[in-house]
Amino acid sequence: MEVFGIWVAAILTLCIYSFLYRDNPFYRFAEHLFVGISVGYGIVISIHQGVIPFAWEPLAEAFGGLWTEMTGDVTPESRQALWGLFKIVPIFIGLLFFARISPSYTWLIRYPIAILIGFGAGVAIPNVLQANIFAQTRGTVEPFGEIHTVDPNLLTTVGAVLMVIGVLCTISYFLFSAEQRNSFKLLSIIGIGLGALGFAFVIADNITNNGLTATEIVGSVLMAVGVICAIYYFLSSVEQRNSFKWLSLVGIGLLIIGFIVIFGNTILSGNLSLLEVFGAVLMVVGVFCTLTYFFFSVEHRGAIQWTSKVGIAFLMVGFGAAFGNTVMGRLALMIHRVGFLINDWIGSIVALFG
Amino acid sequence: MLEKFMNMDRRIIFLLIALVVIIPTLIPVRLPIAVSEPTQKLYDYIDVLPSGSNIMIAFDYGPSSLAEPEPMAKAVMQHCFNKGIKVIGMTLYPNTPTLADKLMKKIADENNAVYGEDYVFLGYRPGMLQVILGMGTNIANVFETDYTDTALSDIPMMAEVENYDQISLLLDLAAGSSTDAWIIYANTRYDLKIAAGVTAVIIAQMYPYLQTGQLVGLMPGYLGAAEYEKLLKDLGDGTVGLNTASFAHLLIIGLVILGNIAFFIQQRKEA
Repeated sequence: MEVFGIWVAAILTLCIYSFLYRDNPFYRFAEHLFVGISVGYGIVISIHQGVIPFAWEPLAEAFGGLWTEMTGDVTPESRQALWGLFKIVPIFIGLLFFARISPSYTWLIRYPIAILIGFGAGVAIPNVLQANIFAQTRGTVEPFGEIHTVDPNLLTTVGAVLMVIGVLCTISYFLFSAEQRNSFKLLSIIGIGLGALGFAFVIADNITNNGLTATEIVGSVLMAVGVICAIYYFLSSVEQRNSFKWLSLVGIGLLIIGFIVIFGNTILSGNLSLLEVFGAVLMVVGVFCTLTYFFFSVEHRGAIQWTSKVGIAFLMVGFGAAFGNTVMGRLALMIHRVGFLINDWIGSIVALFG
Repeated sequence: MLEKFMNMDRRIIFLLIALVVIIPTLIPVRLPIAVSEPTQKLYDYIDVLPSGSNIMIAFDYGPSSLAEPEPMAKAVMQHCFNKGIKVIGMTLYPNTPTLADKLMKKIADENNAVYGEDYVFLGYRPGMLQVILGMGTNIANVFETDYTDTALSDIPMMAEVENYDQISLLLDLAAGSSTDAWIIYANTRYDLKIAAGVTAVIIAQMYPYLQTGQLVGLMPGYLGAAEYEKLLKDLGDGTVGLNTASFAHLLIIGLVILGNIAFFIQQRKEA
């Protein structure tokens, strides 16, 4: 029986690879067979591993328990099984997917879809932000210095509270569905101010508690001021001219200086090897340039055009690496099949006649 | 001549590729392998786990992509059984249970591991997200029984395993987006340590997770399997596959260089 299976697999493998010569009925037969078997197998497995244990069995037990209750022969098991009746609710909601079949009840499908999207978004958004945005951002800048643990003292508490209020007020600045005037405008300004102040408190606390070096202090402060000023650069709702434009430019400039100071300090302190420093710089430059390429709110001219071009180069390298790996992956499949044909199939023929 | 080369029948390239795959398969050649940091990290992480620890292996690939994950599974499971680490298998893919069950049994037999004591295969449950999140609370709520319909409470090695708190590592053998899901939900939400053994196609997406520590280790395709086998000092399918692939890679690199040279010569001629 095993030899029969090997022969079937070998013939189907050859049918699939016959496509490399040209399209033919043998290839199409094997392709359709593979798709059909995959879908059929998937459905059967889903029924056996999903529908039966999660829907059929609990419901059957629950109705059995209900019958026992009605006949008066109550046991702790039958009472416990009654909880299975609650599964009717999710099962019913799931069955609403089939409302699609009936034109007059198609609208009912909105409910399971709404629940799925609501659940999915609710669960996904915080976790995706944490895993793919915060952790990745930290990973980009982390090689430049160790993260300092902040001790919970008064200074930190004040800074943290100010940061929270600042964040709330700053968010109000970006709430464009309400007109930004009077108290609302004031709230926005307070938001930006408190955000900056809180940031300053946390930095001050870091300095006093962690014994930062002079260059680290200068770099951190410059970065902090730079970040705040740079935020102005991206405030598209305000016209970028006169003092506002200067503020933006100062922000960008300070960010760069702060970055250079911290980077220089990292090299001098010898925490990273030269190769690691190169890798870290390359990563930050790559992230910055690639993000610039996707920043479409500003016309790509001058320095931004060149930065985005560097970003394109990084993207091309990334795509090249992905393509190279894809070739390697496809080859792996072929190697596996060739190994099967030579070792198992031809091996079975040799064994048969040997 | 140049024109002939530029318009070469693609089937000649297929034939050349077939030859460079078939010949090393018939006449095995052993090329030197240097162990890279991602694989070393995974090996070191498992190597220091105390005997009796549990690791979970998610077989998240299908029949069409088993070439690379299977040698990785063999190498890691062999390492675990040698160290007395218990292995819990499961899959998020509906097409994989039979493959994974058969593979686990085969590897266990080769290493004299006992089902229920050294390893267990839970099978498949639909709903990737719900399965990952559900096991964080209670594995038995998602998998009341294992793949052979035995209640988890009747399986000795599962007696003290309630949720991810008792699992030292999750190794995702993946050919798709499942590793992202494990990181986003199991690592971020439950702080479960994650490692991955992925097909070459998705390696590039995994490196950022490795750099941030969201992955404790990574086995990239055949290379990862071969490196792990080298660390175990027991060469297997991964090493054979990598050696064969190396010749095919050389051919492809050669063809790319030749193609580019021909392209530039032709461009100059046209100018």
